[in-house]
Amino acid sequence: MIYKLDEESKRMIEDLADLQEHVSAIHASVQAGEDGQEEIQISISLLPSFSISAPSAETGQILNNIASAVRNRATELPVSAVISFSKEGDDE
Amino acid sequence: MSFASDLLDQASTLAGLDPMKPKQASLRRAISAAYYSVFHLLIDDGARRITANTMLQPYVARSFQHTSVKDAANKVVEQSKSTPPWPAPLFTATIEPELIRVCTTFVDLQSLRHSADYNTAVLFKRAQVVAAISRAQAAHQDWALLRSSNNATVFLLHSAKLLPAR
Repeated sequence: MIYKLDEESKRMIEDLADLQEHVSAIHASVQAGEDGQEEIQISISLLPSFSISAPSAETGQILNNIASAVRNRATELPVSAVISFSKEGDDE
Repeated sequence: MSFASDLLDQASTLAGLDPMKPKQASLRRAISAAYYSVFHLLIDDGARRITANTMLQPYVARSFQHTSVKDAANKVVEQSKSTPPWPAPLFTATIEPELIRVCTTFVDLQSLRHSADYNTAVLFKRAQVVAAISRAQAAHQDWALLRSSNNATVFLLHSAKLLPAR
């Protein structure tokens, strides 16, 4: 592992500002992807109240906007970002 | 219905199986189908952009590689950097937010697809899978809005490695 995410960048990426309507937590860490390239893996936890029982493009637009907003915070970093979503309290 | 649309429908069907206790196999295949729906959406359009010969298009589509599409997608996202990388001069000044969303969704789904297909240590939850499929659906909508734009063309040609290094 060569690239280390500094504390200020990590804090900036994980900031919940403007996202609290849908997001409960953001976690960022540097890991190697399947192709061996280092990447910032950003995991976004959605609030239990976020409705996501069946796929819909409308929900997808909300998620893609959240992903774009969070990824923008990492744009100037030398490593690309990968974002995934989960839902807080999801037992299935 | 196109192949890409069929894959998207298949992803939704797989994610809805066994409502009480979804099988990991179904959830993993759903993620894979969602990713491939976006991949084929892009490369089928790319092939049509490169040749009007419908007999050749499937062969041209096969020349697109997953890693090169991912690299091109990351380059689109990085155009907002203070010093944007190649092929910055070929893009129209402002990259459409729809194209950025398509590119970020593609990159994220490809990573998720790798985990779904190869990493059995990861346990997938239905909400995570539904989120991925929803993002793919939104990417299909966004792509329909901008697929004819100059920036979409640059992205596709870069994905096909048809633009010189500089």
